[in-house]
Amino acid sequence: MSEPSRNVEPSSTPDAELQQFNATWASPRGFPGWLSEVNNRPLGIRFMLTALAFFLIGGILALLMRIQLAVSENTFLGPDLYNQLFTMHGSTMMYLFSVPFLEGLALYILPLLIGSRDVAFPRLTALGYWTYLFGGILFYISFFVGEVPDAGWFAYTPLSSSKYSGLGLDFWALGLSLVEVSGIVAAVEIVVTILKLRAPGMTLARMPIFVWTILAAGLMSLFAFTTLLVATLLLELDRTGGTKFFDADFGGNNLLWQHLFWFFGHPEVYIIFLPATGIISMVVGTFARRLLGYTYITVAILVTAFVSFGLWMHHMYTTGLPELSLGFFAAASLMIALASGVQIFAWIATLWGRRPALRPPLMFVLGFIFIFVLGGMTGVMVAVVPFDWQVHDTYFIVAHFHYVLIGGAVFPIFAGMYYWIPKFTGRMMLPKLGHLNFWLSFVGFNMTFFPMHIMGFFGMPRRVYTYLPILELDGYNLFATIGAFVFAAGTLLFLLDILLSFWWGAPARNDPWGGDTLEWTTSSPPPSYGFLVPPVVRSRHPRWEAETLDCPPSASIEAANQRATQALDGRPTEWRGTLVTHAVNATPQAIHYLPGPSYQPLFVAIGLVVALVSVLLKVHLVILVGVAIMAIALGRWLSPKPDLVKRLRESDMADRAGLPILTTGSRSVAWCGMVTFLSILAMSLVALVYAYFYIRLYSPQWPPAGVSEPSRLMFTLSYGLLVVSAPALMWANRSFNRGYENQIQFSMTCVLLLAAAFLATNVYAVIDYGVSINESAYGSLFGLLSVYPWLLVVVGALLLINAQTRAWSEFRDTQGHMAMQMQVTSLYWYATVAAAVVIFGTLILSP
Amino acid sequence: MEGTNEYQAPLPRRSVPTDGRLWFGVLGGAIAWLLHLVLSYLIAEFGCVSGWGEHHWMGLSLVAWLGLAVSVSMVASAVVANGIATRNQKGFSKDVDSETSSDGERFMARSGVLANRFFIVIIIVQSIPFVFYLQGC
Repeated sequence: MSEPSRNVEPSSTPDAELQQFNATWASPRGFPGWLSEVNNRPLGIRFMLTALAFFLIGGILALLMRIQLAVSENTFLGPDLYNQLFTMHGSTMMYLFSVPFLEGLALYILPLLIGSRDVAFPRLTALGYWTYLFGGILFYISFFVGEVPDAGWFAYTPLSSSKYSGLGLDFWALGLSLVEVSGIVAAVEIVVTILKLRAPGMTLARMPIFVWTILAAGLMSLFAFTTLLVATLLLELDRTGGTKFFDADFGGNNLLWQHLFWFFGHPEVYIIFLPATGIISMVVGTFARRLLGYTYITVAILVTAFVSFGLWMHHMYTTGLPELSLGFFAAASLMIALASGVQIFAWIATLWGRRPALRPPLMFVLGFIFIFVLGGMTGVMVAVVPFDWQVHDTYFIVAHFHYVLIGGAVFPIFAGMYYWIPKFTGRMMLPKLGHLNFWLSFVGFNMTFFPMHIMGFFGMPRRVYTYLPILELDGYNLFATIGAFVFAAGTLLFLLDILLSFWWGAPARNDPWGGDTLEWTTSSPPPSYGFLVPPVVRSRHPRWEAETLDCPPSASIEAANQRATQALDGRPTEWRGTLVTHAVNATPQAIHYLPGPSYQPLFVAIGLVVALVSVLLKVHLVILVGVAIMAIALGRWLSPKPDLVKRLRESDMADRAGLPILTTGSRSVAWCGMVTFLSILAMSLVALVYAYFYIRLYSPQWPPAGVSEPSRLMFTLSYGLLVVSAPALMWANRSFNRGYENQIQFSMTCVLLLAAAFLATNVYAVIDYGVSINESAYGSLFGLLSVYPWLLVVVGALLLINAQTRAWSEFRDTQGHMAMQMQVTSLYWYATVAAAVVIFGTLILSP
Repeated sequence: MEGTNEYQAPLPRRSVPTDGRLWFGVLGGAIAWLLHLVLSYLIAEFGCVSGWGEHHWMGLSLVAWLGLAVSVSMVASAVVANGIATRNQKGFSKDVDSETSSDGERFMARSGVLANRFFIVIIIVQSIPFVFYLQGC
């Protein structure tokens, strides 16, 4: 085990215990250790480095495209290769760089900002990283097998259907699915960590703005990425399974893809933009030594997160939708500018009258404000329907979204890197290189993208590999190409700066910028546990002021906070632990066990890759191998070792802190994780039900000609059996709470039997109905919506069997781990029953 | 375990809002906006395609009636949420005892007032298109 660097905090814990504490938190050594790492800091760095590698590749693809477009009728790239390059460039920047980089930054810095020792589910962090890495590799393997995706980063159907696109689109869909899984698990991680693992005293009113923005982005990711996952599943089923969701010849609907895709795609822009604004607020606050409008900024962040889900149709103005719906989506698109404006004005007001030092982080902030305001203004322009009709699919749109995404994400990322890299590496970056990087990036960016507004007005179409000399756009394009290389030089300088700082950078103090937040109280770089003694927060700016005087904590809260943090001073020593606090008031609630190094996340990701590659290669039996690997790894992951539960029960930490270690309900991190997971399932169901009704709306006959109605009696009986299992499980829970051993076993057996009866009758009913998934969109929808509850029930039954087996020996554990397992399993099962009822209503009862 | 340390909040006094009232004050406007968006979208996309725009009553199409009804009721809901958020904020300002309320709750109440006002404006602006399509889609 490698020794983590020591923290700077004074500790009253004896040296021998501190050594044991350090050993418990040390990263495992060697390559096998590298594979089993679960700590947020090394994994956060890996996320960021991998994302930077993809950023470089995506940037090279962009430069190749700019060379092609430098002069009219150029033959540097052919049309096919150009299509492949713009598809890979867009997909790389949107899926493999922007979101994963910000996730990596969040995973690294979040526990430090909120005073926690790690994130809530460390193994989930590792799973997120492996799925992201494997997804990205799968994406790029397409280059080596000569089957590169070429239908754009949005993969509109029917262009992306198997009729018009080759194997490359399968690489796109399957690689992307893995990256989406990564995005979803990172979102679960971030949301639960922020809500449950904040330092005592860090109430909602004292959370750093960056934490607010990643909370908003995490919540958005849960819904947005789930929708995309459903959409790519439907696309891949169409491509390889012969379903007809998007095949208009068989009752499918191509616009359904656009609806689902943009329901993800528009919030995606804000999932990237909001954390970037969080970085801006942190840098502005530190450099101006204040941040005006904290409440306004947080409200603007939350309003933006909400409203961004109501804008998806503004990408579809030209698809022939009813004008009325275009009207109110245009209104929403205009209104979101107000929320962004609030933030911009707050930053300007904060900087007004101050004389902050123009260091690289602040320079990139100022560059961001200039570029993003321009991008925002063109965003307001394209929100107006008639204007959008004129410039849609021209270079004006290319200019607009690069101003928003590079101004709104890349410049803040640069600002954040210059700001936090001293904390990550312990070395200051070289200021002269930072200044030069800023000017090259700022000038190069504007040279590249500003002329594109004009090119768009002159009618230069996007996504086309060349243009005619008669358009007289050669000069603009050559200028843009030169600008792209200037911008690229700036980026290379940034990477060079990071490398050189290891040799020539001055050692970084703990707080090189005089920042106000908790990460600056740790050493640079911080130890793997972040805080030896969990901090108590008494103000919004814990480094600047001891406490906020208008609302000091009461004596009893203060005493509870002190007792909890003192108990965790250099402890627990035998296992990794951190404090759980109340989601709103941040009062101590429990001590959370954090698992150490594990190979299970890697094996789950490998199982997933094996299953998806089998789909790609059409060796369907191997899918079962992948599923088996996943199932075994997940089984080991979810089953706690008996000696661990015993050790936690016997630990003296509970007595020291006066807090439970194994707990239930909203105090339990596992419970919060399950609620978050269920919201993902709910969103996937909403997307599928929406798909059903949307396709049905545009179908002249439902079910289509030649297909009979499903048997109401048979399906009612089948779904009824599952519904009855819910009260049976309630009975089991009541028996468990009262410690009635035999009743627990009997009632849980009843639940399992009812589940088995549901599966048997439902499978029979679907087979008996005889509708084919390959003959109509109706059949495809009926089949998929029928299989959905089967999968939920199978997983739920495994969870129930696990709980029932443990209940044999642990039925008296009504407050500890067994109780938590019963509660979480029950939550899942009730959600499964609710989902089945919705599906029954959709397939069988809807008129 | 030696005496629990988990902080137990004392029973709230009358001026301090309950959890339900607090959360409604924070999220009421957002939920009203969400419902307005979903229902307006369903009315416009599903209603217009299903021919509701052709059915008229008192000179207005069924789509317009439904759209206006949804808009009025959702603005009203957001206004109610804003009223509750305002009362929450006043309740906290009277309560100076940090035993019964934290600055986290005070912050939620204040955020609720700001957010609800914003959502009221958004719902009103998003309702304007219905006025331009009183006869059809």
